Amino acid sequence: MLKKKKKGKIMRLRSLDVVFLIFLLVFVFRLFFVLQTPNFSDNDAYYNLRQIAYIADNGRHLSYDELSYGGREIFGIPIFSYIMSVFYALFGIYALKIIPAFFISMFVFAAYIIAKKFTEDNISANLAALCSVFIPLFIFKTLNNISSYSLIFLLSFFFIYAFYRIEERHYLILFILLSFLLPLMHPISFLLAISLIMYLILGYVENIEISGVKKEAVLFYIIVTFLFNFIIYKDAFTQIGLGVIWQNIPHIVLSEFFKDINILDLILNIGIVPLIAGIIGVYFSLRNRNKDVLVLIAICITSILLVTLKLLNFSIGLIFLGIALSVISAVAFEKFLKYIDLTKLSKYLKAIKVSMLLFIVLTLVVPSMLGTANVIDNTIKDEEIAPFLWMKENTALSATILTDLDEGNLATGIAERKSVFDTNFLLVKNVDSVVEEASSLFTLESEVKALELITKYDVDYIYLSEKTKKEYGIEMLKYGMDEKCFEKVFQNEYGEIIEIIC
Amino acid sequence: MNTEKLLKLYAELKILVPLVVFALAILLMPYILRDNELSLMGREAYNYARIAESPISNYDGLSYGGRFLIFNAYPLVLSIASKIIGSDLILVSRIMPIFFGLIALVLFYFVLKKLEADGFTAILASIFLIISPPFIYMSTVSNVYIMPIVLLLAAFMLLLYNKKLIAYMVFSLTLFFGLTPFLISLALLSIYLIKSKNYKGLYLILILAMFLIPILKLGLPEFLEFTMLPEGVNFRIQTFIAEFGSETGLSMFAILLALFGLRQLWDEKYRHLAIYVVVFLLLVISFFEVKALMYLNFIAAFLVAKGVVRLIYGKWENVTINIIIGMLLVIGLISSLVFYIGFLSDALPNKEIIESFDFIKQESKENAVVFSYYTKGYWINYFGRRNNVMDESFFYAPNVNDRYYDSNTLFYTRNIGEAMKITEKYNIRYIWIDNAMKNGQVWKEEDEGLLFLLSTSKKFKREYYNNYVEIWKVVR
Repeated sequence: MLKKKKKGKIMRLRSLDVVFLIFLLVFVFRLFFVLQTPNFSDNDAYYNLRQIAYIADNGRHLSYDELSYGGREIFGIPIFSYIMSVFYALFGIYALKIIPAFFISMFVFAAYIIAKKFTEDNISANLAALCSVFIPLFIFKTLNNISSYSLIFLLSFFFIYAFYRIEERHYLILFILLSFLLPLMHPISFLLAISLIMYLILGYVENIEISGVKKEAVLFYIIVTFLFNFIIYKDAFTQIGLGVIWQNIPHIVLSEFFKDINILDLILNIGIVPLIAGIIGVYFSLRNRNKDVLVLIAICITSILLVTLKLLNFSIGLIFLGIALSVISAVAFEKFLKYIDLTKLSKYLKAIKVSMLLFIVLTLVVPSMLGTANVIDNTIKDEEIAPFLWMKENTALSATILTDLDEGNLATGIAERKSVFDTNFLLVKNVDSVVEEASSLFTLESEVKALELITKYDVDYIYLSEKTKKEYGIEMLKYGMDEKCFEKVFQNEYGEIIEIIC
Repeated sequence: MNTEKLLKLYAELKILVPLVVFALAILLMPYILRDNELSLMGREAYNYARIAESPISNYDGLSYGGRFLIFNAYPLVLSIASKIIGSDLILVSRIMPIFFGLIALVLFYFVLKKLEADGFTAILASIFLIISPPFIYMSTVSNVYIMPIVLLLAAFMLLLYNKKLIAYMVFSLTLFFGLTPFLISLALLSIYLIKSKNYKGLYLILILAMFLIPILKLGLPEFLEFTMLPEGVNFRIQTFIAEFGSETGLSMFAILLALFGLRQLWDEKYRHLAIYVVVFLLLVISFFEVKALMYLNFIAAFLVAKGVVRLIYGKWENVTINIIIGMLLVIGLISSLVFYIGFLSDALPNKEIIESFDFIKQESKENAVVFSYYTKGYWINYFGRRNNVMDESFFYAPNVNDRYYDSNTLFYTRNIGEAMKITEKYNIRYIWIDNAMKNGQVWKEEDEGLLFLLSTSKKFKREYYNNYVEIWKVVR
């Protein structure tokens, strides 16, 4: 008896060690790539960097951005930026690379404890946790950028775990705290609210009894989410109505945010193992009426539904789907291993377990590593930053810079000058015409028309990068021949700056 | 009166007096916070104040440049009250809604008591009614719905006390306050008669409906070919929710609590079918006439009370969650009340608007036509005492669709010839523009349509401007 207990304790320690090793592996993996460059991979990171720096300097967030679109209101309370600002103030800019990587790596614990909750098998739970942190899209979208998603995914899955164990007092407190925190942090809290409604529906349809406390918890979370979001985005709802769901994204770029799902996308972005094992896990869970897995199944259905209805960003929807499927895949792993144990192959069980691990490494970890190297290669280079630093030092504080849409946050974040347009669309008036007209300035042939728009948007400098040239299929500005009006003031191999002098 | 009845009355008064005092305090708030010089809130109050100057007349010389006026008893009530009190119509337009609002509150309380709602639910429902935005609007902004609502409540009260004849007479009085209030009254009476299985009473509906025959003599009104949303409302969903800027919308916290209340009623399934039908019907009507939410608000207040009772006495497995949900919703309701009182006290018109019309009144000829967005029509008539091209009284308005399309053409054209043609058609002498129009109500761009013409053409001359308004004269 004593021996058994001791053995159990050793097993548990070993299992936790494995999770901790996976955590270290992911953390080191991410740090290795992230620290190869001083810059960030995503332009939006520079907007967040500006917000964080502002909080660190002033103790409060930027509620009116006078640089973006020549001045616009900022909604919500950037809780993530507040958290990051503490680290930024203490450790400088590298903290903004390390801390998000740390948060994301912590996800392995959330995935493990959830998988462990419904499988009771350490190896399956470990494999599922490993899959969840190496989902290709999850890595690409959260690597080397400053995004609140690095914390939101983690908190969302801790929230789900707290929901599972809500009958226990500590988890009830955790659930209540996260119920307030998540809606304050990001509108993605709606996805969880809808998922919980879907969970109740699935429970009803499958005739699975859901406890009264859980029903009350769902109601509570739905009320908090809807109220907080309505209060935070009240002005946005008033001005653009339900268009707030689409974040006021202009039509010409809407297709990049909301795409249709196809099977190839699923395989490439989620990975073959989480996808197939996850689907098998869903099948067994429904057959065995496993009510814990039902929440994750609800998340999968809601993600697919919202992405299909173009109500949720394609990448974010797929990440939620991928990590939920990864965790569910623990059920499939457990079934598979148990089945093997019953067959003549049971003597090769260890070898099979190692093969499974290798298969996951080959199909998930290796492609993720290759993709990650690509992400780092495409990270903004120092030479790309140089034109913006030049503008910061050589242009008037009130200058307005025309860049391509994606580079707008570099103009505000690095050059600290006004941008004509950038990717923060919410509450921008006539966003469609602004984006259309500003983009047309890269392709217009008529100087008269161009000057009309330049006057309208009060443009002082045009930044024409090589990326922009490639995107619009141009070599140079067709109307920029008149030296009395347009003067090239900066040039390097990544772009040029043209000053409007007439 | 025996002692038992006296004690009962005393007990009711002990509840009602604090309720009325509380209601009075809430209803006076918007006026206390509002700059006294700005007089009434909103737009329609000015229309009724003006019509009350000659309430029997069937011709309005200023609206739509002169139009036939269907009789409405509300301005007559204002006029009579003004003569009785010996005060001006503006003060009466402030007092009367509050007075009738308090009567509505008392009637609502008694109706609930008579319908065998327990005392606690009736008190709660009355409190939630008092703090609800539609009730505050109805009882502070002079409007045509307050009287028919009071009449409707009185009629139901009489029906509940089995005074059928007087009740039907009171019902029929709602006809004098407009077609929509009358039709709503008929619909609600029909539902009540069916619910109480008084099928013979339905014949009475037919008799009451015959009151509409004189209106049919006028022919059918022009069917509106455009949709209009209330001022400040950009999307239909906004019209239902006060927090999104709707004048008569319900608080979203009240909606949530009312859903709890509906859930409570659903425990008895179809026993409360009549309530579900009334809620559905009023929601549908509100989709077309947003002011119908004032009727729905009374049922909502009852449902909110039911919801709160459910929250307090319902079987909850986790008390912590129960308490937090309750606190969130109650805090929400109170903050919604504070927000709404602020919203109402800041309501237009502001000083700049009133001053701009003083200019028009002094500088223009009496028969001059002032063009603006149709929601400014009542102000043009009241403050400026000049003709408008159109206003919000669409019912039987002359060529209402043509006027709407011509107004739009004038707003958005950049062709001076086309613009001048329309100004000549309606004999427009002045164009009145405020910041709301320039900030999205009409135009989104600084040089859009008419704004471009005003700044470039010599056919328009800016005669007046302040921080909020500019007035342009059409030069012929």
